[in-house]
Amino acid sequence: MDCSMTRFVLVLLLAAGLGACASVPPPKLEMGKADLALRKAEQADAAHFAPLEMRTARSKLEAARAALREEDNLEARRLAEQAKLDATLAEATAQAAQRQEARDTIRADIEALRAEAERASNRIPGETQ
Amino acid sequence: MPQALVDARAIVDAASNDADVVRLAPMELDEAEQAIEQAETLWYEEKDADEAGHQAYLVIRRVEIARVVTTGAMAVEEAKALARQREAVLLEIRTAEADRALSAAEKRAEEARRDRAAAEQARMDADQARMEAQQARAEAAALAESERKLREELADLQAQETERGIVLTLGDVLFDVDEATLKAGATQSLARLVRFLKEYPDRQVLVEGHTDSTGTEQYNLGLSQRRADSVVQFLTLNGVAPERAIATGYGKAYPVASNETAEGRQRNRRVEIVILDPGEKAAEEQRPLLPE
Repeated sequence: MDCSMTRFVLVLLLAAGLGACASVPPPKLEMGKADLALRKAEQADAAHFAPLEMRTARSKLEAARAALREEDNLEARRLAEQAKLDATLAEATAQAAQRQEARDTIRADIEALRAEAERASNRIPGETQ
Repeated sequence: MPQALVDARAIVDAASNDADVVRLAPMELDEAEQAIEQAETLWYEEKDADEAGHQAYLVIRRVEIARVVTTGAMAVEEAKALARQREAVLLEIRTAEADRALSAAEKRAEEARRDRAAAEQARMDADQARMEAQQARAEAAALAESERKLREELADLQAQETERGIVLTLGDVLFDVDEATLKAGATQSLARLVRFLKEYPDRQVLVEGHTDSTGTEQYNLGLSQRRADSVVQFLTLNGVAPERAIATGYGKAYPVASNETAEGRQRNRRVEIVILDPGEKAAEEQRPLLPE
């Protein structure tokens, strides 16, 4: 009974370990992609423009690493895949925000130029005296 | 089909029908569409609800990425349009500035032109004034010279200035007694008068014969007329136009001295030649035959 119980548990553990190993390999590629996406997002200053997505991406990548350490490869893959798209969204958000800022700068330029032109044309009578 | 995938499919389809997303984020949209296809396929194959939920999350993220990319691309398009607008505004401003500068420059140039014209005019006026002054001086000098010359010539003629004009008197001694014939001394004086009249063609002369009170009126008038005629004849013979000299005999009507003495009578017997001022007509300046 004791022996058979021990065997049963061993078999169970072995099966689980083998099953885990055999059905889902460690998501090295997905982890690498997520890490790369996060770095790209950081370079795009996404922490400033999309702080929520960046936090989400970082914590998911951390969680993926933890899952990997615990050999939960399935969870690690999913977390890495989500972290990657979270980071990509953060990067795209930062890029869009910067483009909008650039557009708004030009719009402000135009307003400033028009105001300056207005002042200049009002200055004519003064200049000619 | 789990609700998560149904929702994800709806979200993808909405993006596929959004013209902006189709146009501006085609690659990201394509990835979202492929992702939902694969997720649905996976669901049919494996019926794994957890995996389907995970796949739905990824699909929705891809759609979000496509929409954010679209927003950024629209910002770029707007920025390009605004940049063109900014160029147009800048051009407008520079044109306006150039126009202002040009009109200011034209104004200055016009002022300079006016100043130059005014200076030129002033210079011409000054030249003109100088020339006029010179001319006036020359004329004054010429006038003074001609007057001096006239005076010299009149002095030569031994003429006197009176209120009637310049009077040249040929005395009795220059005529033969009771005759009208001129003696040589008279012709010398008259030759100078001829020269004078030729030099001053605008001057005419009255030639007046006078006598003393002796003798009859008839005789005196006749003698004085004949003597005056002789003088006029001399002048016309020597080239003076006849209309410039009128001879009149006045007899004893205009004595210049007393007829009581021989010397006075001598002075009264004479021919006076009145040289009229320029422009005066001899025919209009004659004095009456008797004093008024």
